[in-house]
Amino acid sequence: MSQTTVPRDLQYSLAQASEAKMVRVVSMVDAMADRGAADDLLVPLRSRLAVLRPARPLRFSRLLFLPLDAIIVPAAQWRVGLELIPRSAIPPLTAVVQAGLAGAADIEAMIVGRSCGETEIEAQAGRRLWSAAADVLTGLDTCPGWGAATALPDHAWQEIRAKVAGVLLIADRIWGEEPPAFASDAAMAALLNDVQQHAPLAMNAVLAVLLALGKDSARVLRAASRHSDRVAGLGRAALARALDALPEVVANRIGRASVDDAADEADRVDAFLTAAEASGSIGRAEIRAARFEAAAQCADRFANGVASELIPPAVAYGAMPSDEEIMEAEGIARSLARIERAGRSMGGETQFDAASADAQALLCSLGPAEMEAVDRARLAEILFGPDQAEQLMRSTC
Amino acid sequence: MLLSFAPTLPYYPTTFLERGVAVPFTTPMLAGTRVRPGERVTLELIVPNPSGGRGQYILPWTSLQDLCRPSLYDRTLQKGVAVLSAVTPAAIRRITRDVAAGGLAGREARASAREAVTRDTDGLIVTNFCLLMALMREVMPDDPSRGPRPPETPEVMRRRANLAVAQVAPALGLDSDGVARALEDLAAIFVGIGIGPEAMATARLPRAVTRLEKLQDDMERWIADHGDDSTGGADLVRSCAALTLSCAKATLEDARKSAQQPIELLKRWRADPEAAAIKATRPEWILDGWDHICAIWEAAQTRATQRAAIFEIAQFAPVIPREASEWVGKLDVEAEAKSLFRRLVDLNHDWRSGGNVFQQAARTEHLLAAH
Repeated sequence: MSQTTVPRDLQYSLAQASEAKMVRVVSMVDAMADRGAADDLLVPLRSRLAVLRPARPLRFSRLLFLPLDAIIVPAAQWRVGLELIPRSAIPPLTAVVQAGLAGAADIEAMIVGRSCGETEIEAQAGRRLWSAAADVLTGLDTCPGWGAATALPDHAWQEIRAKVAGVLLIADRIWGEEPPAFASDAAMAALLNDVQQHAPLAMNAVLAVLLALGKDSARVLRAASRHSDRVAGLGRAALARALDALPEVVANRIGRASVDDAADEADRVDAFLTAAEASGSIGRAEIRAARFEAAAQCADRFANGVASELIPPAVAYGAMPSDEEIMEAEGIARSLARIERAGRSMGGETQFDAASADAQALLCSLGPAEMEAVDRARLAEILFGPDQAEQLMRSTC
Repeated sequence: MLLSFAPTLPYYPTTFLERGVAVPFTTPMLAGTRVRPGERVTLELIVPNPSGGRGQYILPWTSLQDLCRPSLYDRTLQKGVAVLSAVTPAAIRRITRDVAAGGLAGREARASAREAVTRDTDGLIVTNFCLLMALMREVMPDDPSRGPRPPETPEVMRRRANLAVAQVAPALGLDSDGVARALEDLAAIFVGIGIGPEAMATARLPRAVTRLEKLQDDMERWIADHGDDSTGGADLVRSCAALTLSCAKATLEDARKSAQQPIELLKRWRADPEAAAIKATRPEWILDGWDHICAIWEAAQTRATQRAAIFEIAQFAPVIPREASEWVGKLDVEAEAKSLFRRLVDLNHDWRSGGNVFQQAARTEHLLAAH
């Protein structure tokens, strides 16, 4: 299988497709028993898929590579020595794990009919799969069909296998709702010690995965810096690469995502940049530039959100909106307020002062025929705080 | 997360009035706040130490906005509480419901407040009816030798009720209308207690007891299943809940007994309405504040959120004051409550950052609807 089996003009037209069409194509490909070349159709859609996050069936291969998702790249972007895993390595690695794992059928039975994003089943099935899969991979010398499937040399197999096995080895400690590795500095240090002892070649991949989780980047960087010189260096490198990738992440996951997802991402980016600055391994100017860019993206998302996602639907509800409609509008306002808070925290005070003033003017322009005074006051309170909301209630702006 | 349990007594209320009445503010910083009559000012605000440390801030009620930027709902609630003639759980519940019905805590809380008004009205009618039935039984007791009384038509029942009221009225120095009004007034006081077989399970305070029992069971299970630092908080909540439950059940039983002797109750009501109401209001004072705590726990559905909920509710689990020992007799409230009075200190808790303030405020509004 190679990417050239799908005509480039078809890939191009899909890349330009509407969201609805894209979701239909994805569900068709997901439904195929043997995806083969059809999988290549999704290559140009992946960045948009990451934002849209359509419901996708939880398959064995997807569960297996779930902890590695952040470091999986198109085969063309893979380079020796980097922490990355080429997407083309997924089918052969999945095949050898399925063949070598005694309980593979049971795990497949656990996830039948389940979708990605069902975190509880992901964690449950993952706990049964990941460390056992790491053992299977560690015990293998060769991978049947490796060259044909990946077009990569045999030495690449050894390197990729080591990275995948290393991440899977510790996956159940970093995945799930309350991952034990993030519980304390000592737990994180213990995890890095285990990786160093049992899978040293996977250290850069593990660090990249830990940073991409966005749970507590500061803890990860602290543990890496206190470890050996080698791990501290790898930590710095992983941080630098994560920072390089940030503009694309911010553009996709804040600029183009739903307000809820954008708010989550804005919080994560803010925490990540704070941790990056505290680590001392990245220049202040670089951090400042990244903050500025992320804050600008947040301000744009806030302004667009108010102008296109909050006010027009609220006006469309008319003077007698249902409880559900108002609660939905308030949910959007809360996410926008979170984006603002993260944006201001990243230094976007000026941008947000302007965006906030525009948003206030928009809200004030709504008359009683368009929205009940108390609903308007609540939206103002969520977006701008109780003082401004009280002013709005006293006067009609 | 580091915790320290300090077995000291920085603030230990003697009476329930000194403990104050819980006010369900929605501003996260005001979680666990209580109000009580003040010594030098009309009303005092009792705010748990916002850092999670020991002690409480006791401030004039009017200084709420010096402490934080309260939500619109909280500002309106503050104004409403300020003009109350007496600070009681019933009065705070009423004003809270009125403000929520205005919509400032969101549509969910508004709908819930409006439903509660309807539920209370229905409850009043049922309680009034049950008190009247008890009065009939007392004035015209059934003759056991005749066996059970056959079912009566509403008309027959109404006539017997009128007769019973007319018979008892002269002894109370009232006319029939006066007795009916007194029964209505008593129904308003007993409505939460649950008079009558159905209401014993469905009235507000018995439901609060059931919720608290569930919380106590859940805490016991949590302690058995977890060996981490959250078990200290869970144990604190469990102990407070156990003590509260024993006091609440005893006073509920006491109040129900008094409702079974309506002639005596009416006499006391006629002589001193406030004194007659005391027994019926005790369970409410004892259970005050637990509704919100139970709602926080019930809203937490995953292990992580339950763990966070334990740390949160352990910070403002209500302490039972010494006064309870006068109400429930044998219970060594003081000794037990002293050993319970500990505070959780989260050394890394960044309360000034406003982290997750939007979700917290939204959650509190949602919990208001669950009260």
